[in-house]
Parts: sequence; structure tokens; C-alpha cells
Amino acid sequence: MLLLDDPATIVDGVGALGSRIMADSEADLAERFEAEVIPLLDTLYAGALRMARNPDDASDLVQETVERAFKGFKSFTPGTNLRAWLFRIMTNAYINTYRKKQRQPQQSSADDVEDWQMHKAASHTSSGLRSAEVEALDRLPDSDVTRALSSIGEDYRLAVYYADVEGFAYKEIAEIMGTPVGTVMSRLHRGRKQLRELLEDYAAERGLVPESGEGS
Amino acid sequence: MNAGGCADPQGCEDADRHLYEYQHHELTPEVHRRIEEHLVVCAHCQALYREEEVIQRRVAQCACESAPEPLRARVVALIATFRTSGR
Repeated sequence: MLLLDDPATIVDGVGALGSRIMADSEADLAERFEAEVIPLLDTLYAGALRMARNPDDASDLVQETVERAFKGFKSFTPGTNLRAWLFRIMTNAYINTYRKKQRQPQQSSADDVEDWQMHKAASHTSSGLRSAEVEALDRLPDSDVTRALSSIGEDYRLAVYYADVEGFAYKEIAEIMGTPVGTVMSRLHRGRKQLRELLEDYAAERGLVPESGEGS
Repeated sequence: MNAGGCADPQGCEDADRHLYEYQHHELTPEVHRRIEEHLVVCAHCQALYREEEVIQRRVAQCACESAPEPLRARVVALIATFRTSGR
């Protein structure tokens, strides 16, 4: 319909023209998909590693995400958050396919506890000791941080990953994980609290912090 | 909470309760400002928050693995089939 003035187009006939437009738009879609998704491949892989926790499964998960994403790409609204959309697809793919296959024990999540109350226990440490801990946490090797992140419960780990690494808003995380915002907040509280405890333990094991027990 | 005998115990309570929402900029402007102001005057909560800032930074830094080359090749090949097959 764009080219009606062009005699060659009219001669082509409607059938040929129709199928050519179809093929063009399909190719255009694939091209746009490639241009937008390939730059996110590292991000998707890092996210997949937080779910699958081994490189082979993470790679398979990324591939499956890309396949599913292309099938749904026509319904993706350009200009909205592609990264969040892809992570939602990946989260679903992971839950439906990979979590069933993986037989690693998963920590169950009780999301209904008032987590901020548990936060208090750690707050009793004196601020002097705390600044020593801040320095210690800064000196931990990256491998300790990765280990701590992979040790916490899956729902907590993903909530922390989406908030602290990907920087998604709580509302976006809720959509990605298919939960209410309150659940996201609860998972973040618990996840970050567990993370802090683990990292403080690692720092103590490495002798990076002064002896505890002398706090207020 | 309030371990340092802070003059603003309610501020300690709020900061403790909303520390992560504060960090992630998820609070209303009023609550955010209230906690921000508390952190200036309360050394205890300030130290706690600094620790959480370091943890967030360390987590963000450690999770940045690159996609392995074989995966990249697989995905590029996969997208090429989308382009030609017309599905």
C-alpha cells in the first residue's frame, strides 16, 4: 500500500507483494530483535547464573529466553523496559523448566515475617566496631561476595539481584517475579540481612575484623 | 537500635525499618528526607547504613560475568534462523 504509485509493484500482483511484505517485516523484526537483545547478552547471562548457578544451565537458560522472547517480541511495546521484559521471560522459563530439573536443595521462603525486627539484632554492634566492619567488607575478595550471594535462598537471591545489580524498581521486580510488592520488600530484607551475616562471617574467618563481643 | 543512646529513637526505628527502601529510593519524599536527616545526626544508624552501601556496591560489582563466546555464537545463529525461516 505504500508503493501503489510504483508500476512495478502493481505488476507484481497482490499475492507476491503480500508475501514479500510479510517476509520483510519478519526480517525487520529479527533485525530489531538482534540489535536490541545482543547488547543485553552479558546482563542476561549474569542473571541466568544467579538462577541456574552453573555455566551450562545458565547458557541454556539464556538461549531458551531468547527463543521465547522472539516469539513474543511482536507484543513487546518499544520504548518500555526491554531488560525487565526479558528478565520476566527468563524467570518464567527458569521456574517452568530448569528449577524442576535442578535437584539442588532450595531454601523455602517464609515471606510473611516482619523482617525489620530481625534487623535489630545486628544493630546492637557499636558504631566503632561497625566502621571496622565496613573496611573489612571492602577488603573481602570478590569470590566471597559471589559465594555469599549464591548461598542465600533463591527468592531472596533474585530479589537482591534485581534490586542491587539490575537496579529495577520494586514494582518492576514484582512484575518480573510475579509477586506483590510487599513480598519483594520482604525478600529483599531477608536476602540482604542473610547476605550481611554471611559476609561478616567471611570477614571474621579471614581475620579482617576485630574480635566481636566487645560491642555495646 | 538506638544502641548509641541517640536523641532521636523514633528516627532510629524508622531508619532501621526502612533502610533498604531508603537505599533503593522507594520511599515517599517526606519519609526519605526524614531518614536522610536522621542519618546525619545519628552516628550509629549512619555506620549501619554505610555498611549496607558497601554490601550493595560489592554485590553489584561481583555479578558482571560476560556471556561465554559459544553462547554468543549460539544466540547469533538462532536469531539468523528467525530472520530466514519466517517461522
